[in-house]
Amino acid sequence: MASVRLESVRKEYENGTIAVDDFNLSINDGELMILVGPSGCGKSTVLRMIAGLEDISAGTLLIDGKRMNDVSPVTRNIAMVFQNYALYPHMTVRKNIELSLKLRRIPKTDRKLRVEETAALLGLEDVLESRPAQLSGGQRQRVAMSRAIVRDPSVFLLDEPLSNLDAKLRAQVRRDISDLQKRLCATMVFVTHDQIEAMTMADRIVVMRDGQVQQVGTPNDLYKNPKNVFVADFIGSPSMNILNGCLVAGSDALQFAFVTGQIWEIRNVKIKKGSEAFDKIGGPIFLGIRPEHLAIEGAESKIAGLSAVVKSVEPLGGEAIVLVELIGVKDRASSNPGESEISVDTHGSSFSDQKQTQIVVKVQGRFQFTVGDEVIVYLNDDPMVYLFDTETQMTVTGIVEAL
Amino acid sequence: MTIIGMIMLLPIYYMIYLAFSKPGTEYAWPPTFIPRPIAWENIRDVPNSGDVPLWGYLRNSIIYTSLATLGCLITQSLAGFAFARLRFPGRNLLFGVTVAMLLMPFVVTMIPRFLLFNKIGLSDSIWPLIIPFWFGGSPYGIFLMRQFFLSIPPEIDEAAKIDGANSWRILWTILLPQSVPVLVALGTLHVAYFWNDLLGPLIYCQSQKWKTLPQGIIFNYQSNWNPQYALFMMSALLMLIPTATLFLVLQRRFKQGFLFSGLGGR
Repeated sequence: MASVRLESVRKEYENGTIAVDDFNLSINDGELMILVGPSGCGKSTVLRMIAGLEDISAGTLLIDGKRMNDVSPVTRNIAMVFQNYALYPHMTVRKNIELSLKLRRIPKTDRKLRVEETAALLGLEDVLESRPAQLSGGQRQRVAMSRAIVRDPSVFLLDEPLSNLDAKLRAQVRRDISDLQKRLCATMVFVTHDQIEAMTMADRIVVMRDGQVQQVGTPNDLYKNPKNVFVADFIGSPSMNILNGCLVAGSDALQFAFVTGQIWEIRNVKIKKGSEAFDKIGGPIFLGIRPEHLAIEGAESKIAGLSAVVKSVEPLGGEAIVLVELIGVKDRASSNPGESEISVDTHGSSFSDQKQTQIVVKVQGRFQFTVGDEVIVYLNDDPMVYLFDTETQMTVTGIVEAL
Repeated sequence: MTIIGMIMLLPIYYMIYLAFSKPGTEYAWPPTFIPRPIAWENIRDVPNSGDVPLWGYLRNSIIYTSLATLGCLITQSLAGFAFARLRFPGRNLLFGVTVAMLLMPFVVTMIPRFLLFNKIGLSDSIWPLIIPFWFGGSPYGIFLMRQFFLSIPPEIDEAAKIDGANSWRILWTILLPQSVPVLVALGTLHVAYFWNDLLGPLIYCQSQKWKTLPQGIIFNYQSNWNPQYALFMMSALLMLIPTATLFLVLQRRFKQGFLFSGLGGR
């Protein structure tokens, strides 16, 4: 297997569209790297440039230290699995797997042996003489994988290979690919727009937006330490809640003021003195909280938090995704939470009004409230909050949690 | 519809009626629904009944039809592939010109083409009928092949490219085997056209040895002062058999070809 390195890679199309710009990434030998991002962010373009299916407008691509910009796809010794598998419909599974070996003039006996070994590895022995149209989605996916494996490539490139599978099969194939990657110690570059796929499979993830790298890191790193609002919003399901307001000076605890002036004191989180966040006190800020770090109590509860009304409930069995609309801040001492309503100023902000006044809470276990109930939303025992600069949208450091 | 259908079938009925009439009794009075007696011997007599036996014409027709069809299928596949898959400067302009050629009737190029072949000394042969079809032939075929290739996902080509195939190999190993229905459809249309072509041979095939079947049939039975309509129609009827059989045998694939290329109705 091999390492892959992209240095200041750029892709500009003839019509002037820039698909990828200043892309730097180093993929280690035997690593499963996942490129993730919304549609049109350039992740497939990066993969196609590594494969040699797209020219590189500027920058350098190195595979195992060798410059590959102008090398033909076949000489790069890469294998690619396409979203629609791209199996040759008129050929049997055997011939589909065998073609690359045949084109490399590998003797017939060797070819037969390698095809059968690969088919056995992926459990395709019984369908070797079938045509792709006779196979199920999962089998086709495995044929596509076999076709990649049989060549013994330096790098595997996978372009959304699970998106045509149903949810159950997808989870299965996800595990299979991870196992296979570990067994073969393969260098894999995997493209997906599904962040669950990225989180569960990757050694490291690259989050992309508008052709540029937003952050590279392990799944845990991206989840815990997102570099900016985009990564924070993209990684995690449901997405992080982002609230618009400002930091207020006062007690030790983090105090977040909504633009109406109502102050939410988050008692178990504080700002480190002299930190970047400390400097932001008195200025505008985005406050980010993941749905799984919030909890809900009934309005009659004495707990301090945000007063809200339940707007919708999505029960998922073991947990529920609850959408609530904020109506006010409830202090521990206050008995009338809805006294002054929260209204959020959206001027100069990229977030929609709805996003700021409605927040999502992930509740473990059975959810006891129904739509229309008044509730208190508060940070749970595992609090993680994030602050983001409203202009640069970068993470502001200096928060200390779990006092 | 049935009545219109019947009217459309009337000339064919009349052709069959005449084909099985005894020579000399084609216009016997009173007319009968089927000829009496049915002259089955016309089938046997037709090949050698005219001034010149039909076998020579048949040979020329087979050469013309097969070589021209082969030329069309090869060059139209290549051109269709180039327009659908290869990137080269002026591709869209060139394709536009090709499609515009659909609007140009044969008669417009008929005289310049004749002068050209006359100049290179090929005018009295079937080669001027065949050679143009080894250079693309009809734009319709190019258009049809392009549309078909566009319906095949480009990822299949890309997968083959990564597997080590060049453009020739992609066309030959990956795309053409998938194109059988459309090649059959196109081939059938071409065979029918070349087999029945009369205008082309009339222009180029002046001497007896190059005449094709439609030309020969007319020459044999209609050009003298005593037209033999029974044998004339029988030879025309026999001439229909190859194309009709081809169409009947390949009917299913013929329809598939147009459906796959996105040009068919539902």
